[in-house]
Amino acid sequence: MLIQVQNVQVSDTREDSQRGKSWYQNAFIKFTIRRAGILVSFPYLRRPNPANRDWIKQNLKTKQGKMNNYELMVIFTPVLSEEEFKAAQKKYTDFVTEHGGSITHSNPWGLKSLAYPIQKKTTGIYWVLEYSALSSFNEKLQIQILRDEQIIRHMATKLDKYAVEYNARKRSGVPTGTEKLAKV
Amino acid sequence: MAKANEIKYLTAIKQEKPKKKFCRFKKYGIRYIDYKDIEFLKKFINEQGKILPRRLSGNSLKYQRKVSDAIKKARQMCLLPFVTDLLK
Repeated sequence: MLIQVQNVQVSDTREDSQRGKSWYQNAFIKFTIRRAGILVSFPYLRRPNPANRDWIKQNLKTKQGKMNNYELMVIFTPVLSEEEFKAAQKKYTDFVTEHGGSITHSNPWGLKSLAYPIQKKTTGIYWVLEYSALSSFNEKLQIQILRDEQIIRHMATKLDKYAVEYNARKRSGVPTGTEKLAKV
Repeated sequence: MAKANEIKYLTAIKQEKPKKKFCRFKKYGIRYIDYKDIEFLKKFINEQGKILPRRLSGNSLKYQRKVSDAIKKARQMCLLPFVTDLLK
């Protein structure tokens, strides 16, 4: 492998099988280039280059925490009217955006029967909200939800990258791969 | 000396090999198990709503953990019952 940067040639003499095995094996070539006075980022370095702005953005930890994707599922009491249900949805979506988060998707399931009774209620109004927010945000949201008497149960789940992909696929109607699974 | 094919057993020995189990998630490339998809999760619970063990479902440990997490979340959110009869 040959890299040419501003009239400086650095050759990597290692064999292809050895290249990119681990980040410290690449330290040699990094060093030789530093001595020439130029910093170059290598595409085959395992560690992301910290000079990369996107990488910093994703991994930056501030005092308030990191931006993450979350999913909130809420069960409202079945006595709620259509307007009250919409008002409650708006209240919490506004609460997310006020605290620097953003809404990815909001999905009101509507009235559904519960698998077992909660507070002697056999039905509930489901609402699923997908949003990205700071990791310190969910605590504030929980306080709001626990105060709310319209809500009988709630759960916020952190979504990993596969979950975000799955949800996006399901929304757009692309098969998610789970249909192929035969009955156990 | 009796030949191998002449030997008779009191109980018939099993001729077929049992089918090798495999992890369905690895085979079909499923990376995320959704707790909202109840029909999917029902494949991994029995009639009483109990989670099937790994020795029956054949899941790898990584995905069995994810399946059990998803089922427990669904139970908390009232999508699946904790205990029941005749679920399927």
